[in-house]
Amino acid sequence: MDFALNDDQDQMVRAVARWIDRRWARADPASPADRRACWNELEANGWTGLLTPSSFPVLDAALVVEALAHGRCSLPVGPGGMTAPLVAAAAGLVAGDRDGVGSSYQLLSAIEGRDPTAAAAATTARGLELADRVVVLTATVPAGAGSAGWSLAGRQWRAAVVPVDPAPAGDGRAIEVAQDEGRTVLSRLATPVPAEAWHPLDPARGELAWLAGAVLSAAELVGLARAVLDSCVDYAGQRVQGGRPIGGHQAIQHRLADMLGAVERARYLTYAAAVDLADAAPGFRPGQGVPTVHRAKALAARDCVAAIRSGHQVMGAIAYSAEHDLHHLHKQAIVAASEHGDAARHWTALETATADSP
Amino acid sequence: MEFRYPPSAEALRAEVRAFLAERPPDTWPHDAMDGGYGTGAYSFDLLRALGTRGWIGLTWPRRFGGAERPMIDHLALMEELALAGAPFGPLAGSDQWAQSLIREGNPTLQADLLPRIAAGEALAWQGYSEPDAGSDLLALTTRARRDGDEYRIDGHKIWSSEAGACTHGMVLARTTNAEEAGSRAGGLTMFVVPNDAPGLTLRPIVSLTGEVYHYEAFLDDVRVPAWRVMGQEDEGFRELLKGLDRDRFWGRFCKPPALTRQLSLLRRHAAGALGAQPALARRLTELETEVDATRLLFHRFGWLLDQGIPTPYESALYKTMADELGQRVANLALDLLGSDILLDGPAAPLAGAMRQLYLTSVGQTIAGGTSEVLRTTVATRGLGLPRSDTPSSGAPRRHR
Repeated sequence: MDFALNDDQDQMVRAVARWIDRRWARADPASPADRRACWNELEANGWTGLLTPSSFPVLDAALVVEALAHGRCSLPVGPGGMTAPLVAAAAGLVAGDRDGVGSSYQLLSAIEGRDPTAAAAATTARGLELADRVVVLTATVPAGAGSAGWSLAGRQWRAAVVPVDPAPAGDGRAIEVAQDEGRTVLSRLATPVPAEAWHPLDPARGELAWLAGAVLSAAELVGLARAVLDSCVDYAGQRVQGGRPIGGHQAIQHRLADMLGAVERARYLTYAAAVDLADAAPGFRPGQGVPTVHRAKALAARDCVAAIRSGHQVMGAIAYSAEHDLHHLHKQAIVAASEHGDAARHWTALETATADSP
Repeated sequence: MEFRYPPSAEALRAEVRAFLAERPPDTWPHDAMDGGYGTGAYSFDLLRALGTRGWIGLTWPRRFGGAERPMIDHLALMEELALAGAPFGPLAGSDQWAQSLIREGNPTLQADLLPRIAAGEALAWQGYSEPDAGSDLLALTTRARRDGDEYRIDGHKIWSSEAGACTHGMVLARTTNAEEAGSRAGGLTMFVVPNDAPGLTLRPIVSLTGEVYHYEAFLDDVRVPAWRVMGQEDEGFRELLKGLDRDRFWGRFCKPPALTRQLSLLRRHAAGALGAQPALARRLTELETEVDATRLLFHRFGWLLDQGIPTPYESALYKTMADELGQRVANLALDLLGSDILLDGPAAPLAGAMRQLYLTSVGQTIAGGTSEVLRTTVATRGLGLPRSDTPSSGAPRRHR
């Protein structure tokens, strides 16, 4: 076993951290123009186009997503930004592996229900306002299929590319349904995807892309929770009450020790999921499942959100205010936790796989 | 990153499975109780059989009779035994003792003990804690004084695990006053005391399981020759600290695979009931995932140790996580089995495995460092937070 990053991964993570310091730390996260400019830099660095149908380095992608989230970057790189071009290419909606990478796609992944259009219309995603085109991925259950449990097996995968028309009344216009201090938290398509836009997608490719999104959302949660832990540790070391730093009180120390444990456990399970998924990709059979992915996403969604929530308690009243950025990280984590399957969905997937195993 | 075992370790895993298939885990006689740490009960027959295969000295240097295999092979061996529920309790202790002898022991001690340890014939207990020196170990009052070529030891140790089943004790005693030594950590010396030394009396302490796990040791003018000093005189505590991370690592490494086995037993036993109790089924699924993830943390810890990378907080954090996870598995067993979990003997569900798990889990967040003390260690050594007795702090440390 080897828990070290290879040289390329190490350099990539350092490069992301440098970009955070140089660019994102000076950006205005509430400015659409600045967000778009930052997005363009991420694309120019090749970080949003790491996953293609012929190259599937999920761990590299997860490390980038984690490093960006750890740097408090709220751009929707992970589950949406990285998997959208992958799905578009896999569905033959763009030519070749690389075409489209760099032209700002976002993924809207709608995996529940039996009607792809209804599913897509009911689903929210992040960052549609940043996209030129939205890739919609659905995996519907065929009519008549059983409903016990939940799994990816036997689904019909379809994809569509929807141009985002900036005109207010245009079809496919992205509308924001939740905003927070000028920052878009969630968005959804305003109108149904036209029937002729749907293209069938090879189930193996669809499933791999969706599972990759689950890993990347787990990586984002880990990065966010690490950022919050860092803030809490800094704060607890500096905030003096009763003549001593609050970090000298065992009640605070023990809460932070628990946060560290939760974050580390989710972090290494996410790495293992990334490695397992990449290993499973060659010759992947639809429905075969990758249990580590379900475990990693479920654990990260449960424990990283809980750790972030715990951060509010450590930092006290200031972190209840909008002046502190913890609430932004918390809300971003809630969205990441729900994308590509929330904790309950992934626990159920594991239970269904156990029940179905001989 | 690579999370799979390399071929050498996979080959060893296959050997261990074949060995256990030939002689199943439940056919080995037990000599002392299972403390619940994941290594099963004490079976000296099994220990000797492991010694015959060269598995006790698997990683020792060749000049000490070892096979010099990499640490990853050792992890594979231990994990496979734990997954099978084999009673290999003494094996972890054997290796920890041998490693400290290889690191700190003098040639006479090494020649006397290492071949016997490798054969599964010698095993040591730890004589550290005292009635008034628990979490504050440096408050110990056992004393040793030099008398010619001997030391004469007087004192009282307690909570020494499996002492009655072992052959020797590692006894920490004060040889120089703390004032003269310059600190409480100085002036302490570690002695290797044979269990049959005149003046040494072991009193068994019956645990809440009804079996004996801990002993109290009374040392009444116990004489040991000077060559039985482990390491340097007055440096015993510092030398103990050098091996502490490895000791704590091996003390809990087998806990996740053992919990994997326990959860598997529970899942099979309760298969019929889980469908009607989705909340319990969900807890089982969540615990399986947590065990899986905690196993990964221990593998990372082992990798850090093997690479010589400092581990300032890992032993404290991961031990606490593993032991509290074990308690949650035990709580699930209680909720699935109800009061039947207390049954012993032929009527006991799962042959009493869950009774043992539940009852021993009570002590695990106390033994080897309480969860409270260890969380403070994580906060101060891992996160760089100020100690609770200091009024101000430096800059917090960044965890990795």
